[in-house]
Amino acid sequence: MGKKELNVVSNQNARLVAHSGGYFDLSAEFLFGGLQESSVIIEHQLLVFADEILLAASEPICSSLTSEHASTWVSAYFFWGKGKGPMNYQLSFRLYTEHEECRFSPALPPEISRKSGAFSIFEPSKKLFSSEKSSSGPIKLESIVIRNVAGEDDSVFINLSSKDPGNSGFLISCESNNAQTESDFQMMEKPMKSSYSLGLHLHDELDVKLKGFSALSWEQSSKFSCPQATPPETFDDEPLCENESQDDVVRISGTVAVISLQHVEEVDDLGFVTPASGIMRGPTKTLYLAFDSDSEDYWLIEEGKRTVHAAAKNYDWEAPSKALAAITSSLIVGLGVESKNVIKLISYLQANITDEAEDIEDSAYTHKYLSADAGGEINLSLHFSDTSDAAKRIWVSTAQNSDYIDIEIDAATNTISFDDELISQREAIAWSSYKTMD
Amino acid sequence: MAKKIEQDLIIREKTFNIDEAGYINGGITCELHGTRDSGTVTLAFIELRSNGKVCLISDVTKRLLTKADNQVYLSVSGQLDGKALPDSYQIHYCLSRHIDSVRAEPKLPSNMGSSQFTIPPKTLLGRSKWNSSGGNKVKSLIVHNRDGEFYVSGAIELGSNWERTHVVVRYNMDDYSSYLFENYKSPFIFLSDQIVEGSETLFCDFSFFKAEKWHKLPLITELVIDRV
Repeated sequence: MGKKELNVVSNQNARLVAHSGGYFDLSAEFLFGGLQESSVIIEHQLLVFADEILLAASEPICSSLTSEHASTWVSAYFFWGKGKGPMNYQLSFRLYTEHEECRFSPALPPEISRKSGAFSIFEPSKKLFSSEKSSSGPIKLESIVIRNVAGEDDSVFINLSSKDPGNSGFLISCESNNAQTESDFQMMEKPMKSSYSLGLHLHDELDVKLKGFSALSWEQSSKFSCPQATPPETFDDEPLCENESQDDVVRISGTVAVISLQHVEEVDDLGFVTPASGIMRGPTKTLYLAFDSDSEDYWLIEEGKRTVHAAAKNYDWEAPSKALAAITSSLIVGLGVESKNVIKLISYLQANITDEAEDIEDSAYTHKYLSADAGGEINLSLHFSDTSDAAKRIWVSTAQNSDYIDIEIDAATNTISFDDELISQREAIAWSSYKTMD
Repeated sequence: MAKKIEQDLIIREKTFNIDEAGYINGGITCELHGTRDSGTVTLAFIELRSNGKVCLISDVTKRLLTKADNQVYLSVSGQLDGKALPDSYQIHYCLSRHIDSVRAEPKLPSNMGSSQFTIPPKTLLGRSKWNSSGGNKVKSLIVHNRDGEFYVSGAIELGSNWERTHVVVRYNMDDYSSYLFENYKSPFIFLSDQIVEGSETLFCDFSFFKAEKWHKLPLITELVIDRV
């Protein structure tokens, strides 16, 4: 099988950041060769060595590689005191091989207006000589649970079993009347599992596809020498703004994104929510990211605490992420975002704020645009099978204006003023596809 | 060969309710009888059925059960109503038996703010004293003295049965609050910043448990769900 020949051919952009208190953050981009399929899923983990002794390892996570994007970023956060002696690192990884997908066409329950909706459970035929295939490799379909409710709050989730739970995973997708939704890759990890709920508007018929995956053995790349440690980037030292620096108050015309972040530790109920509402519990943070349409600069305001200016002439298209990177320590300490996940959050926010659809799709966040009548909320039950599914994730809500408005930023008091009635023209809610605190 | 001890998981209490929006919440308390002196790492989950069809599976609960603390609480929640309302349930569980332990005594930092990195001491034959049976190895420990508390980080490499191996780490024997239970997806484990009360000595006990097969309790067909 050609895919078994996948190997690390190089690593690049390695960076070792020395944080205060003896903590280090190592990140690197690994490029793979031997990719013979259009896309594959790998699970990977960064190992860090002090001399030749294993010192630290990142949490294993899954990524998708394609022939066009055959690289993945990994990072590890660890304590190493004064950091004496040479350090090396290597990538430990394993490939998931995919199996032939199987398809099911379960009947829909009638659409009803009762609050809980109408349910049906589809079970594949258990007859010995049935032509219906219910397994894709090690993953076997046990049942499909379909919920149909008047309106658009329909949902589907799938119950699966596996004889090799530690080494198997799955993808599911559902299609109804040209509306399609699909899950992220999920590992089984136990003999039976309910998938996340997939929300889609059911109409006429439902087509469900299940693709199973089997993990190959873990392999390790060669070892690479760590680069010289550098201090974390700070943007507070940047000149606030050259032309307006005589006055702390900056007046611009542009857009404002109101960003609400929550490290959700517990969820009480699978109802309608927005991050930082009472239903979800965990530390929250609100940020404002203002875009100056003339200079294309970005201003990040953490009200009452700090104002960060990232000039386009310095950072070009990366200005929003550079502004956000300036509050890395605040995200780690105040919100409890793990260091290794900060870059994922910033990458998603940059993609969202600049409306880069492909980057949003490729991010480590599940992103849902909200309609004007959604009231800034989503229905958790459409996306999660239970409250624990929704918890232990970083949640993000963003509200942004499309038309340019007048904005006033006071860098002395770290405040921002604008007409907030204009701010809900583009709203979205997102949650991390990775779990925190695991 | 150690005598096989019969271990039974017994359901003690259960409650299930559903609200008008169709959200079911269920909780089951189970008790493990025949727990070994070294404890038993227990993994368990609930499968709900409706008319014989699987309708919902809970997350796995993982606990180290001992003779003194032999109960595990399982919970399940999700949206199911009408024709998918569960009418029966089954508990799936997996017990892991203790196979070996390693005691590591890392060097301690003397001053606040300082740290000490320790690699395993060797036997006369050059073998690491922190190696355990099954190919499980504690590779290094680093202890950071932060304001009088120890922040311990450690790297472990598991043997070929890594996917069936669980590790319980206990810092200083009488410090029960430091019990940890870890379950891993790869052969390499990193325990980061485990907080231990400062002391003159530090014993890090790594206990390795090997998972047996998954079992099922008999299907319970009397499931009463209260409407709330």
